[in-house]
Amino acid sequence: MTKPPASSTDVAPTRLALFGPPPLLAGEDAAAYDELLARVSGAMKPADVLEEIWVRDVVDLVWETFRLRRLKTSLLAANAHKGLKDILETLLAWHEAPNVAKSWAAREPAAIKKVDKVLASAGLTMDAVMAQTLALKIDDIERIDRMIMGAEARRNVALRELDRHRANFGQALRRASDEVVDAQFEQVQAPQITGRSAA
Amino acid sequence: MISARKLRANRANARASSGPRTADGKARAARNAHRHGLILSVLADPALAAELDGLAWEIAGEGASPARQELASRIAAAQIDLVRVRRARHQLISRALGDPAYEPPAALKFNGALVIRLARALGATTPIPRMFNEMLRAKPEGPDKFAAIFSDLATRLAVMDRYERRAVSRRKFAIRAFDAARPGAA
Repeated sequence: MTKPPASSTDVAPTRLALFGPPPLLAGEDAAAYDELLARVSGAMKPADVLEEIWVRDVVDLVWETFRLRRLKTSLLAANAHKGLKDILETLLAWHEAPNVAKSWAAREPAAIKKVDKVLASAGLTMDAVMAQTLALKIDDIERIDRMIMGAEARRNVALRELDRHRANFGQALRRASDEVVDAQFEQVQAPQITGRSAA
Repeated sequence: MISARKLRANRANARASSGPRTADGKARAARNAHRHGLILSVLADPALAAELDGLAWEIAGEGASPARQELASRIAAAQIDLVRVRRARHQLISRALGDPAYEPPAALKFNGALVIRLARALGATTPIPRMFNEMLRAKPEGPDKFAAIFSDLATRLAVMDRYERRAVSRRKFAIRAFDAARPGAA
């Protein structure tokens, strides 16, 4: 089999192109992705191109999981003032709640103090605010959770297949080495028997 | 069961229907498989065929038998399909995220209905009050925009997930066949 012209002498970049560009979105840190790839590659030590494919799959799926987890956290944080507004509407005058929530979101000290006081007077904590925010964004959060579960399941499949491939390769190596040892043993034994019968 | 008369009519109608007749219709039908290009064979694209040869060569290794070469080609084809699906999904999300004027269809529908109601209530010539104007101009940003995009694209992303699962499955079985055919394998 001769090497096709599409593959140049520079193997690593060619392989990288064959696996596709890194799945980075605008604003994502390319250096952090490269570091993750290097760390996973270092830990898994791919022995052939197939293992490199799985390593790349695992890295991309871990990156996707990180991204989705970050999104979930920032979605809740970005909408916390809406959850707070809903709670404050039951504790303050209806026209006051939106302004206090807005000022609290802008981290104004007076608003933060007021919110803490109002929540404490009702026996509530920020957990209640986050619970209300979660209720407001439950559809999005559920969708993101499903996507995280899907990415984790695909990563586990890739790792399982990598294990299976390595086990097959290990078995093949053992069988091949056994055959070599057997062949050598036969070659050593044959002259000894001949020598004895001649004597 | 349909009647013999109806069956005859169906068959006659089917014979009469021989696909698009106009040049425009034929051109449109020819592009059916190109909607996202994911169901086209890797071999149909000369650039991808070259990629396939390159990857198959990397997988099979130097001096591989034609049988192993063929098994390696099956892995390479599935891998390239997988890369294509992932790239398409990535572009879909990137494009929406990079669009500064992006607005989820649900918000557009809501805003349209709001404008109609305001026009009915205030009259078509009265300017929209500031509070409503701000609401109409507001666009999702940051994590809200991301979440809105996932919601908006959910159906298309689910289709792409299906393509991805198929390609992963094809690659898995192609690799198992390749491993089973390895010299020394049971």
